[in-house]
Amino acid sequence: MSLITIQNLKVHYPIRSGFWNRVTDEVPAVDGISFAIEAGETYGLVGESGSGKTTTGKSVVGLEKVTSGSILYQGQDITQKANRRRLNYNRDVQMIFQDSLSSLNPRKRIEDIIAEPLRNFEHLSKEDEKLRVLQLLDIVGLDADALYKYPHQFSGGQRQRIGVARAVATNPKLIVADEPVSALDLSVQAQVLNFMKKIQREFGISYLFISHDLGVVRHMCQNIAIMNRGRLVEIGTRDDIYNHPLHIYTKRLLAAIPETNVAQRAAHRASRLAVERIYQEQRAKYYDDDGKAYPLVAVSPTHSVALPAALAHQLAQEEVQREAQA
Amino acid sequence: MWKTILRRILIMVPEVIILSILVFLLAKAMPGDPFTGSINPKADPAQLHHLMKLNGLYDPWYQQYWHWVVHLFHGNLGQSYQYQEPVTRLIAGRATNTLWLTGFSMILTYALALPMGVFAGRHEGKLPDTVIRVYTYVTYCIPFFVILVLGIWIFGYVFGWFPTTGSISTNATTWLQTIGSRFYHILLPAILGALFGTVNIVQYLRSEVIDAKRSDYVRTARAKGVPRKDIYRHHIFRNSLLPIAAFAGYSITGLLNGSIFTETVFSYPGMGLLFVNSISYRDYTVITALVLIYGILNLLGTLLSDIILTLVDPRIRIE
Amino acid sequence: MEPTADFLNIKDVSTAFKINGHYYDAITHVNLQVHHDEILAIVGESGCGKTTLATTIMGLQDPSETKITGEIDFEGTNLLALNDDQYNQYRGAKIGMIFQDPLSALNPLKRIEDQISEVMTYHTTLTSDQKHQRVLDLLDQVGIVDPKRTARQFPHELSGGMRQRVIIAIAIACKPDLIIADEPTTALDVTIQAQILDVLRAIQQENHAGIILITHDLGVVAETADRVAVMYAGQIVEEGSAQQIFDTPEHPYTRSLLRSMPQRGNENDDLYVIRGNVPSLQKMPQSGDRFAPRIPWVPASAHEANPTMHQVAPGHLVRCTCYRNFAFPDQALKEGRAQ
Repeated sequence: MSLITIQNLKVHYPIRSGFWNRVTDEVPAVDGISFAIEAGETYGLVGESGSGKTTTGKSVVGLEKVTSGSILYQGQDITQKANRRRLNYNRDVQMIFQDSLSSLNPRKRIEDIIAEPLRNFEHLSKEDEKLRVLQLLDIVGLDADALYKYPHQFSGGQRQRIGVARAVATNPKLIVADEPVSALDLSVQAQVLNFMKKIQREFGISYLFISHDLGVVRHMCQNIAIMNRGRLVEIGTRDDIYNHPLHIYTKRLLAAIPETNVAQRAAHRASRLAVERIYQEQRAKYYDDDGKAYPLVAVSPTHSVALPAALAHQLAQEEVQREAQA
Repeated sequence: MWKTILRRILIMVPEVIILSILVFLLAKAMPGDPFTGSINPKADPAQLHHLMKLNGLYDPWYQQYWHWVVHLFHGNLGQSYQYQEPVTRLIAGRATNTLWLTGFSMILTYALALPMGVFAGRHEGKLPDTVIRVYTYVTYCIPFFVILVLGIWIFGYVFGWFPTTGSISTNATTWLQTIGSRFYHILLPAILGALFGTVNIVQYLRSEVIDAKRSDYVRTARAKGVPRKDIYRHHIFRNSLLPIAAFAGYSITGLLNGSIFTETVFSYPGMGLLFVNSISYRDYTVITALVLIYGILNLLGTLLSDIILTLVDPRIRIE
Repeated sequence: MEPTADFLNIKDVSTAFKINGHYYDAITHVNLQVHHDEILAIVGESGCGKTTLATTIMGLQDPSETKITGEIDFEGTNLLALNDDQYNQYRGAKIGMIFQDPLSALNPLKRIEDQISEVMTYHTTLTSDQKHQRVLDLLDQVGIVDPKRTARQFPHELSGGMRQRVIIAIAIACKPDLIIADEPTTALDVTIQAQILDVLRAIQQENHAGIILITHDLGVVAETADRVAVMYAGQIVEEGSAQQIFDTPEHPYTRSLLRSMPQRGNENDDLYVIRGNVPSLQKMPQSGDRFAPRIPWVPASAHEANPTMHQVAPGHLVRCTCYRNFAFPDQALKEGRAQ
């Protein structure tokens, strides 16, 4: 059984307008998405700004008022507050944020920041708590003297590791990481990514890794979902998504990732412009009459794409042939 | 935009109703009754009882409130016990005086505060900034009535430059003399009020200018090759004056409240002095009327602020 | 005008910031040339001085807080010798600048049209009708679909990509010879980033401008730049063509950065981590090799006392060549991983 199963999740934000400021419409930030996260894996959720990926992440942690649909954890729907409390869900699922400085209370010492989830969920003695915090600092590679420092005394990468230490304090099953490295420099990003993988190996934690950076997602995630304006357009394994993308939106995103191969620059640019042209010209083929993504259709046990069934299978077939030729 | 403003005005309606109910209940809770003092203290309690009943004073409070509101709309706020004069006429005369004083004070406040705030912000950390900051700190530290008393003592008694009581000289006969005398009387209180009123505006404006100076759009303007003085004119001033403009409505209410001190210390016959006197003489009808008026003026001040903000800030202006 | 002549020659420029009464170098002895018709990328991580270099060229530093030495020769004039009024003849006219955060870089209270035409007010003699027409042309040129509508709008009504296009329109309004783009796509989505880079490249070809592209994103550099200068701790450590930098990097810092990038095929490996941290401005060593503490496998005696730039191939310069004798050891890679 999957660790977390998201079924037809919808989060709609009301739009108020008119003279009396009544709710006249809704923005479907998340518009009926379903996917499952397995224990011990890193699940990538990719999308551009405004795609609803952060709202999805917040819903999984229980920070968002869900309009409809369910999120199953141990067979119970945790969109219900009572279930969250009964399952101790907020201990098992933690979150890491993009902005490490603003997500750590500037007036609290690192000891108190890391111990906070422990104090909420595990009532340890003073000594045990301190030992556990020291152990956590050791895991994230910080010295004991960090205990009495404040967040601003650390670099961005160190702060992000403190955020991770706080998140793993309660031995969670799942960590929702919302753009955890996009504010970091390349060398620091490498440090944090390595470190996230290391904890996963040691503690078997699952990640829901939310990012707009397809390079980082490829490095981190085994399974990936591509989100476009509140809906999923394609889900699959790393190989499915990066080597056999079917939906034009996925292809467009992939084509836009800059390549570090200078010699291939012109060819890469030409293929990007070609994809962009198809995206502009054949929109109607890939989206329904309202301009929204179709429901997902499975083309293989791991790979699904949001297209009419006939088209999905035709494209999948073409992809198989193309690979056979290559 | 007009929708936003209209909506904002409509929000005021329940506010005014709640305010009036509170004021009415306050008046009811005060000791005594409207006949105390106006009839023979030795009158028969039964007769008094009859009078009360005749005037509806035993009716449920909402009925009484309704009567009160109807009277209110007819401009009937009752009779002042202390002055033996209709409250409406009494306040109307005083309100003119207060309007002169606060209006002039407000003009002076902005005339002084805007250049000071901008100048301090522009020359941040330099001598003029330091001088202006010391001035604002000192003014901020001294209680307002101390400023007033010191002002009267120095300019009124020691130098004798200004009159220290009243609103107009009895010798003024011609139209021009009347105006002149009025200004002569309000000059010192208005200046002192303005000195005190500048503090917040100067400090606020100064920090707005400093923020704007360091903003990215000013850097963009520099990168466009816009000369520094034009950057101040077209970008910094305009953008930092916006919150100050919005502040104007609130500052009217501040000045009105400050006028209570000023008028008392200067024995200037305005609403503020009337208010203080009415309290010391327990002139309830006048107190109720003034509380109601001050309350409505405060609400109007915040309304004005919101309207100004809607008019000048495109981020709010757009529906 | 020779199409490939140096028109910007940065000679030995240092910029120091005043912190608590002392001056600390943010960039040290920078030498760079920019040619017409090229995109020169300056890459480096935060705090390496790349933005300081940009603002120094633009003359945007507050003279009471900074000390700038050296010479910036732009089309025969030393920019650093100009006063503010003289500088204004260059800023916006001959040198345009594109900023990182397109929302805060626009005045929230002014319409787009006014913000674009402002730059023309100071550098051209166009009438207001001509300026209006030029604003519409510029918006069209940077790929805005409905220029008339956008011209009347305020910044908060536009999307991030649109705002960045407006910023570019401002920068190119007077057809500058040099455009400095400071992290122009960092705040944008990848698809928008690709479009903005296309616009930049098109403008460079159309105007024969030289572009300085400042970024931390190696992918953007590899896709866009003709030449690359890598900065570390206020110094340029390597300079060469894009091909040279990405295919045959020399300096260990460049090599480390490339290795720490997630790339196709290295999903199951740990990424390379550079040991230690970038020294802060106040603790910057005044002599010796600034990168030495981060490559402990090179013995101290091997470093040049004051490393200078050496030419290792035509157009390919690297600070200190001692690294060539010490291959990037696997040992070091493992240690980096252990951190």
